[in-house]
Amino acid sequence: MKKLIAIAFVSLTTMSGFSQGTVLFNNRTGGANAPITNIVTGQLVPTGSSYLAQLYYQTAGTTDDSTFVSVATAPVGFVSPGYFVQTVPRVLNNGLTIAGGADAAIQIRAWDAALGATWDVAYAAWLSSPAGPVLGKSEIFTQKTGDASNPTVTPSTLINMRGFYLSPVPEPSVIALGALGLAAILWRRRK
Amino acid sequence: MRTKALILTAALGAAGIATSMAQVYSVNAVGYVNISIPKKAGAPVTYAILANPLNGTNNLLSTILPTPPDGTSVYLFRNGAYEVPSYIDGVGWIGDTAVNPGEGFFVALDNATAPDPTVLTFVGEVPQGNLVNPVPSNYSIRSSMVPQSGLITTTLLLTPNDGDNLYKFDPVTQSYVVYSYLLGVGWLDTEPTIAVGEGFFYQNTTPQTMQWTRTFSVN
Repeated sequence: MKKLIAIAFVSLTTMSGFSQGTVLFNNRTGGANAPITNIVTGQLVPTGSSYLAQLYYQTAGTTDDSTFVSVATAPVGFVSPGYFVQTVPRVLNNGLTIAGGADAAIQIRAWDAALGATWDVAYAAWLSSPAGPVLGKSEIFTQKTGDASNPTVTPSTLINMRGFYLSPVPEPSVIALGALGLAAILWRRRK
Repeated sequence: MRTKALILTAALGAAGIATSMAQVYSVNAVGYVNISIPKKAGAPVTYAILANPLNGTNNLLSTILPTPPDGTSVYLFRNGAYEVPSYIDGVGWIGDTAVNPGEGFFVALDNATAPDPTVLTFVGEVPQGNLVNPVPSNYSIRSSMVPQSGLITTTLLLTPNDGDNLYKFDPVTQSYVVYSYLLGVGWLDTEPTIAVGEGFFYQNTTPQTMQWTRTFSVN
């Protein structure tokens, strides 16, 4: 009986407070190892702030990444080639809140800082810069979050993330060539 | 003084025998403590709650754990939030910070790089004198300020408040064992034993910071 009372007490105290999911923004340690590579150079993204990375999230199961929101903290640079390793966990509460301990859909986006300081600015610049600076995003992956209101549940690491490539927008001539090929295939099928 | 030295010797010796997690090889004021962490089979990461049991030259992670396995992270819980320094071969500690005796932390070993078992060695001096380990309201990760194993209240002299909880993390099962203290009853189900170099989550259910005090000497 005493044990039950104690367990109930523990449960009540740990459940109190508003629960918010946390994620460790780190693609190298704690079981994560998902480097980011520049497809043009074939090299890992260099150390420093010439490239930026940001964490985007949505409720688990979401597959349309246009609905994803970024965490509130600013994008970060790279501490070693291909790796951003941050010491402060990110809280998933920027307009959309993921409950602590719940699964979240996560996507990492990275870009050449010459494109802009945020993803939205960088993406617009990237679209209008064929064969210019590189940009990319990870596959969407599911991640169990930590719980900001219950520290005994530690912030999760990006353990399910896979490395990805940053690439330039294909030049118009390349796009035109692709479209021509597609048209040819369709035309042959109709025949 | 001689008696205290003998007690310390006995305590450190007992620590080495009583637990498979920590082995103490020196009973002098300066020495080292090896902490062995078995890898969790089939998992990408192994977690354990540890503590720095000795005073190093500056207690920076780069000093007390200069070369942990590549990809190791340390989870410090300070002022109600996590701070997670990480170690990468060739780069060193990212977010290098001092971890003093009395403060516990999670260590997260990357099972792809960490040996099994992983042995972490702490080198330094046994803290002595009147030692005060503040235990803030609500959650914190704490440890004994002296390298001594034993029962948390009977031996290590932490005086709990009614309703306080202690979360001991088992590195083998990768889960917590929770102990609760009720006034007039004591620790439920039993009083927890803490090993040398072991940390634990403590939930101080009062609004005040507790002072966990020890007076300790090896001379």
